[in-house]
Parts: sequence; C-alpha cells; structure tokens
Amino acid sequence: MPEPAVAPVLAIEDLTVAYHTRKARRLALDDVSLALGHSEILGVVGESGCGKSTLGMTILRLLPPNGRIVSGTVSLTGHGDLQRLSNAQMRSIRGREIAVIFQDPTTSLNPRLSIGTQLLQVQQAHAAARKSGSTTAKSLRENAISKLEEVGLPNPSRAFERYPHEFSGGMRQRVMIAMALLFEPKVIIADEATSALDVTLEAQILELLLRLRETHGTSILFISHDLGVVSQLCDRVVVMYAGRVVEEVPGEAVLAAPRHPYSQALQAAVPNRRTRGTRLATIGGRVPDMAESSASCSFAPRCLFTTTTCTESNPALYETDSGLARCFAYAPEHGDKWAVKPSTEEWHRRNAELADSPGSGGDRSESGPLVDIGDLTVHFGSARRPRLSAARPVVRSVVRAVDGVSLTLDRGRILGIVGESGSGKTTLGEALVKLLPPTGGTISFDGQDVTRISTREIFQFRRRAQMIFQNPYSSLSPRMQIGSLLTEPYEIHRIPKSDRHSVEELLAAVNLPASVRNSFPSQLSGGQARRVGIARALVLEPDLVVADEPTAGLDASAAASTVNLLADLRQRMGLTVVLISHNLSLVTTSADEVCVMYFGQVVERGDTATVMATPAHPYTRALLALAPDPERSSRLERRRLLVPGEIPSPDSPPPGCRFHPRCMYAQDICKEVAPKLEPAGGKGAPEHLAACHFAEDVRAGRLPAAQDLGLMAAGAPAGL
Amino acid sequence: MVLYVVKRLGVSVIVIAVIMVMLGLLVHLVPGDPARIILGPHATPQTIALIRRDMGLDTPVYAQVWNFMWGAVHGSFGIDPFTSTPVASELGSPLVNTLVLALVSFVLSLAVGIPIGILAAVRQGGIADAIVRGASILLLSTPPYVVGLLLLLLFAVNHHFFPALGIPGGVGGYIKALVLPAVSLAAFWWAYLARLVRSSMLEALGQPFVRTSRAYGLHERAIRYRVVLKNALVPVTALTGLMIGYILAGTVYVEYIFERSGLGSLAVSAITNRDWPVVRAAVLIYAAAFIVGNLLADIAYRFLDPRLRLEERADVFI
Ligand code: SF4
Ligand code: SF4
Repeated sequence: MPEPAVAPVLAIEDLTVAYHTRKARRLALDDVSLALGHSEILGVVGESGCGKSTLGMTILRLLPPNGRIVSGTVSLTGHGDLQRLSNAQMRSIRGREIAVIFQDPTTSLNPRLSIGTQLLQVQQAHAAARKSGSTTAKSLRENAISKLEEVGLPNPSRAFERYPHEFSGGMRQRVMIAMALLFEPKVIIADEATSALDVTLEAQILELLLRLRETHGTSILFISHDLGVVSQLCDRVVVMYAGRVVEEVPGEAVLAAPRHPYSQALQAAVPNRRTRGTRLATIGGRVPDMAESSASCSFAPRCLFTTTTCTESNPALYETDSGLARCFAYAPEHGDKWAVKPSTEEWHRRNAELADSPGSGGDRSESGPLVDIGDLTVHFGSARRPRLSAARPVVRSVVRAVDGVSLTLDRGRILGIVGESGSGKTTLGEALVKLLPPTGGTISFDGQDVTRISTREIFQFRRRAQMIFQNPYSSLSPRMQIGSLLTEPYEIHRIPKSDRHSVEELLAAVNLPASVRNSFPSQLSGGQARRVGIARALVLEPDLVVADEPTAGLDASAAASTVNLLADLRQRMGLTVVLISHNLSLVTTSADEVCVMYFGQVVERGDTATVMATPAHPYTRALLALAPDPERSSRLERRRLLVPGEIPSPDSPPPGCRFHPRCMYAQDICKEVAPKLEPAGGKGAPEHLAACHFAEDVRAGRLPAAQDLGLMAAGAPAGL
Repeated sequence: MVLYVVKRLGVSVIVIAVIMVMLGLLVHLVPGDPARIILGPHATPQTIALIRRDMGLDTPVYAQVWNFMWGAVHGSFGIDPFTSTPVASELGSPLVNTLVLALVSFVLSLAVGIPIGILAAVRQGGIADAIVRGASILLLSTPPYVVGLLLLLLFAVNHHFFPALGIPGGVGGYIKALVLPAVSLAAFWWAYLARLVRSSMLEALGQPFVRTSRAYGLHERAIRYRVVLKNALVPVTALTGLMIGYILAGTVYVEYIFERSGLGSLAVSAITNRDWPVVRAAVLIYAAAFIVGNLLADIAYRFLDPRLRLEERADVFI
C-alpha cells in the first residue's frame, strides 16, 4: 500500500459545507479533512445522507445553488486553493485535472448525441481554453478512440459513432471512464461508479480502475456506500457519518477490523458467508439532519455503545490499532469507560438483544410442494414479427428470457434466485405470479395447474401469489396515502370487513409506526417505502410472495432490515418466499435453497449451505469468489477477473454451454454440447444440481483453469 | 430507418386512397340529386342530363369512384359544372397562394417561437422570461381569428402599413399582402412553441448528463446550444406534423378575413354552392398536405431520436 506521499495531490482541509433552504440550514460536511496521495485510491464510505456525494461536488465546485462552502479549503497540487480560481480557470480544471465518473452511465451520458460527439465536446471545451497543442478534429478523434480502446471497448472506432443506448450498462460505464481519461487527469472522482452494475461487471470495472492507476499514476477518490467493494479496491478508506469523518483505516481493515461503532454497524449489516441463517444487524434511526456542528457524538442516538461521555462532548479522531476513529472508546483519557470495546460481534450481539425475537412456528406450516414448474419458457418477440419485413430479412429475433426452467418449491421455504441482469430471473418471477404468460411448460400452484387460466382465475390466483416490485416508488400510486394503499387490495378483491386487518396491524407486521398511514409514498425513506410495498403484498395473506431485488438501492442497514423482515414473515406466517437478487451474499443469508440462473436457464440449484460450501458450476464459483469476505479480507488483484465479458446479446445464445465464452474451465466439448442440469455428485446432497460437464470436478475443486481468461481480459477488450 | 420510412409511406398511401374513395362517394352521401341541387328547381330534364353526364353521374357508382381516383392521381379533377372549366386549372393560383401563406406562416412560427422559448429558458425567472410567459398566455387564450381581426384593424385600417384586403399585383405587393395573414396565423404558434421550448429546455437542463458536461468543463453556452438544444427540440419536431395541419386549417379563416384568393376561400364558396368537383379536389389537397406533413415530421422525429432509430435495427451493438 503506497503511503500518502509527502505532498498530497488533493488536500481537503477543515471543509464545512451547508445547504440552505428557505426554512432551514443543513450541514452536509462538517470539518472534513482528507488528503489524496499520488496514485492512491482513497475510499469514502457511508450511508446516503452522510455527505459523500457533496464531497465530490464540492471539490469540483459544482454544488447546487443552495449549497455553500462555509469554511475550509480544497487544494490541488499546482493550483492551490481551488476556491480562489476564476470560473474560467475552474472550468479548465474540470475534466482535465479532475475528472468524474458518475453512478448511472445511462443518464449521465446524453442519449441524443453519439459517444464520439460527447467525447469531442469535452476535448473542444478545453482546446478552446488552452489554445495550444494539436487540436485538429482528427487528432481529437484519435485521442478519443485510443481512450475507448484503453478502457476495453471492442471495436472503438465503430463505438465512436454509436449512441449510449446501443451499449450495455457495463460498456457505458467504460465510456464514462474513457471520458474521464481524455486528458489523463491527476484525480478521478468515482461517485458510486459501480453501484449500478452486476457483480461480475463491477469486478471488471474495479480491475480497470486498478489498471489505470498503475499505467497513469492517477489518484482515485472512490465514493461508495458499499463497504465490501471499498475494502477490495482502496488503499485507504475514510468512513463518513453525518458529514464528518468518523474513521480512517487501511482498505482491508474496514471489513476485517473496523473500530468505530458506525463502521462496525455497517459491516454487521453486510451479508457474508458468516451471516448465513442469522439475522443481519441493523442500525436503528436515520442519519440526522444537522443545522450546526453537534456538541456530542453525532452517532450517539444510534450507537449501541453510548455512554454519558458521548452525549456530553464531541469526540476527536483518536488513534486505534488500525487507524483513526472518532469515538471516545479509543480516547486515551476515556477508554477505560468501555469494559467491552466496540466490535462487530458485540454490535451483532447487542443488536440481536434489541430485536424482538420472531415468534416461532406459523399456523400454516404444512409442508409439501407449493409451486412446481416444469420446463417453463418465456420468450419475447416471436409474435411481434413486423409484417413488412419480408422485403428485408430483418426479423426481430426471439429473446429467450426464460428457457426451460424446472423448479419445485416447498411451503414455508425461501428460495433465492441469483443471476446477473439479463439472466431472466425477474421474468421467471413475473411468470410465477402470472404477470407474464409463459410460452411453454407448466406451472402448478398448490396442486392446481395454473399454466393457462382465465383472467377471472388469475384474479383469484393473485390473492394467493403476490409480487413485491423492485421500485417501491413507481409501484405505489404517488397520490394515495399509505393507509388507502394498504387497504386497496381489500377493495379490489371485495373482502368483507370482518376479514380485514386494520392498517395498524398491517404496518406493525412490517415494523412501521402507525403514524405513516397518512403519509404519501414520496414522504417515506427508501427503506420505509420498501416496507410499504411488502405490507401491500401481504395484505391478502398470500401463500407465495415473489420479491424482486427487495434491497436494490437501499443502504446497508435498510437492506439488512428488509431481509430480516422477509425471514421473520416466513417464520410468523408460514409464507413461501422467492427472493430474486443479483447479490449472492444477500440471498445466501436468508434463503433455504438457491437457484443460480444464467442466460434464461438454471445452472445450479441446491440447498444453500451445500451450494456455498461446494459450488459445482464455474459461474456460481465465480460469484462466490467475488463476494467480499471479511475473514479472507481479499484485496482485488489485477487479473483475477474470473468472469470476463458480459452476457451476450439475448437473442443469440452461444451454442453448447451458454456460459462457455466466459468460462475459465471451458473445454472443446463445452462449445458444442449443452450440459444438462444433473446431480452434481455430492454424497449427502442428492438435490444439488448443476449444469456443467465438469460439475463434479468443479465441486471438488479439482479442475485447473483451461485458460486464464482473466489475463486475456486484462489486456484485451473483454467484449464478446 | 429505411424500413420505417417504407412502412409509414405505405400507410400514408392507404390513408389517402381511403379518403379518395370517400370523396368519390361524397356526392351520394349528401341527400338529393346533385345535378338538381346545382341547377335549381327550374332546370329542364335535358340540362340535368347534360350536367349528370359532365359530372359522370350516369355511370355506376364504383366507376365514378374509380374515375375520380384515376383522375386525381393524374392531376385531373373533372369539370366545374358552374364555370365549365377544368377544376384543375381553377385550383392552380389559389393553391399556390395558400401554400405560400401556409409555408411562410410555418417558417415564421418556428423562426420566432423557438428562439423566444430558448431566451425564456436561459433567462429563467428574469424579466424576459416573465414577459414571454405573460404574453404567451395572453396569445394562447385569444382565438386566432380575433388576433387576425385585431391585426387587420391596427395595421391596415388605422395605419396603412399593409394592404387590408386581397392581393395586389407585383412582387412587392404580394409580399406586403402576405405579412398580416402570416403573422396572424403564426402568432398562436409563437406562444405555443415558446412555452414548449422553454419547458423542454429547462427539463433537459435538469438532466444528469448536463451535470456531466459541467463536470467536464463545458462552458454554459456550449451546454445550452450544443448539448441541450437537440434534446429540447425533439418535442417540437413531434409537434410540427400537427402544426402543418392546424396552419392549413387556419388558412381558411385567414383567407376569409383578409379576402385572399386561395384554396380556403375557394372551398368555402364551393361548399355553399354545392360545387362537388371543387370541394372534392380541395378536400383531397388538404388531406394530402396534412398527411405528408405528418409523415415528414415523424421521420424527422425518428431521425433526431437515436433510440427510436435503433428499434428497427436487427443487430444491437455489443
Ligand atoms: S463516541 Fe460513544 S456514541 Fe459515539 S461512536 Fe463512540 S461509543 Fe458510540
Ligand atoms: S460446461 Fe464447460 S463451459 Fe459450461 S460451465 Fe461447465 S466447464 Fe464451463
């Protein structure tokens, strides 16, 4: 790990930033100091509302109009205090000395301009300011294309002419990175740069950032809410809470040995292989909005280690064995007040004491299969073949979103479905609750064939099978109050008054206070809105609930309590849950069984513990390896890509094993013969199935990598 | 894209054909013997028979429809029974007048409305913005013919800046006579476009990609005109098809108010006279202009939005 160099590239000192609204003032950054060394990767983590994005925007002097720097300096080597610069000078720094990569490449690139135009515009903006160097259209174009090549875009000169929507999410993010590289800036600010991506793509982008740091010596400020990612990538990590730096530690330590209670709480909320079957720890309350710098520890209201000292004065940063932490427990003069030093385990323990233990045994706990699907297929596009296309053989091909999936799900179990976007997992979920008609195969529900049922029967069926949608804000009508939203299903299904639950009961079931009944969805936090979505799905007391990415977009703590909630509901109500997520750790924490999907098919299925201990499919193996693990505290290394490339175009599945272009174990047979989903050969686990020719060897860890695709992907474009 | 154009073209041709069939049947859809209506109650059977033959009413209905369509495709709309001259030659100069008026109004609408909208968006909250917004509400809530009459009173009757009625000879006179009618047609669109462009421009300025441009050092001016403008103009392109239709429809009352010779005034008098061949020809021309306008606007819209352009393409890149 490079020590921060003598003179940091970017130094932030005593920075305080506040937002002013007509009514109030809110402190976003409170006396923040940090230094980014030459070619260092510095992580900034925290929940949303902790001021981490404000930090990035302050550095670039792009705060919204109501944001103001109250005090402090941001200085860049060679330019001094950035606040002293004129607007024109500051503009010439943006993009040239400090570049940004934003979270969502879909909205951060202009949909109506080609990639090339956008890259050229950035260069021209600076060409005009610089009035030197070669700025001919041709040289600018060549520069842009060379950057596109550097970030691994296949066929860069063709990509130059293309529009953002013609790229996949991962490729779009590469374009953003290419834009950041145009002038080889000293500093790159990555603001949640990988948060919108699948794990395998995320790993690729992280690897790319590491490579850029190596080749260009760029310093990277990596802002993220994801403790795991930060620990894998960063040399040093700063944890922020309520606008203040609360902990500063080396990268690995943030997962392995966090010292500040807040960092510990964050870590306890992140699922990993140790949290299997346990409740995830949560943090009560929310990040406070503060008008003035608080006189006590700002984490005190949510901290489980609070003493009187904490509420009387404000802790400074104290030295710990791994770094600095803003907590009195490490202050030399106060340390002895903590008989038990704050630790993640202790946080877990105390958190579990607080949580009311879930009631045991539901009343509907008969066993036996509830859902049984056989060879289910959902294809899109076959019926919408354009008539006139006979003139030109351009036929929209069939997209096989779900292609031959068989599953049995017992009552009262949680089945986790994992896969990248494009794997068909959401489509499968929607087909399960009859939101989509299957193209082929059968679905039976509670012994009854529901594959093809009338609209009337679907209506009946919906009472028993519900879906929890990914985005609670878009699935809840914004003009209805929570109370009416919750009782609406009763009205729709004309449930007699006597059979209804009260709104209070419904809210209590998802741990929401009764007071939210009169709020509108937009007034709720992400986690609360998600709970309302769950409550609404539970109103009719269904037997089956399909939860699609229930934690997407939530902070660690809110995500953890959502997962806990689903597990509790299963316990209390005997609910059968299908949990769909791209996050394997999350699924393995609560699910009894997992089902890994790739390209519309199930590639591995089995009891969670078995699959985790002995993954039998290379894809599962890679997903497991990519999940952050505090015990091994693995730093992401270059060339450890495991799964290069992306899911290929959905209408043209690769022949043979669909995973073979990305599989590091692929042999010749894989390119021709599609493997079947068969028992993986584990002794005590006959139900452990995997679709791989070498499943047994993979499971036993006997297979040497046929080719190091990782190496290949690091050097050459990773596209397919 | 090509496929799309072909498809849209096909649909347009079908629509025009259907309209032609209906126009061919028009004579029979109105109660009463058309020849008798034209000639009045005192006509002799001989003259009626003559007119019927001129109008082709003595042939079977399907043949009438076919003849009408066949003629129309070849630019012939039969004989005007009132003047006994070919309808096509009667239409000539009024048609040119109307098209010139519509085209000038259309260009004038865009050329003034869009910059006003941009100005208001750029000066959001400023005086210019307030004036634009106030004036546009006023204009939008005034019926267009009232605007026409007011202009007429103000500039032609009270002050003789422009000729009041009719079209005087000479190029200068022609142009002068065009100003007031064109402005009275365009004024509504200035207001409408200004508001539309203003709001879509502000919306585009709030998009995350604008933040990207700022974060990469683009000047505000470059952001406005090179990054955002294209996005802001997409709704305008979508509107132009509709505009063409409305402006054409507007020419009817404008020609009436300003007593201009044109397709509109011709159609109005033909309808009062039950002069079917002229009515048919005029309606067909309006319909065709409307359809072609829409077609062009749709294609332009596609062209501006790369996402729509892609839809028809089979190979999605990467
Ligand atoms: S100072 Fe006290 S309240 Fe604050 S984090 Fe440490 S133990 Fe918790
Ligand atoms: S069948 Fe071959 S390509 Fe497919 S997962 Fe197994 S080893 Fe990899």
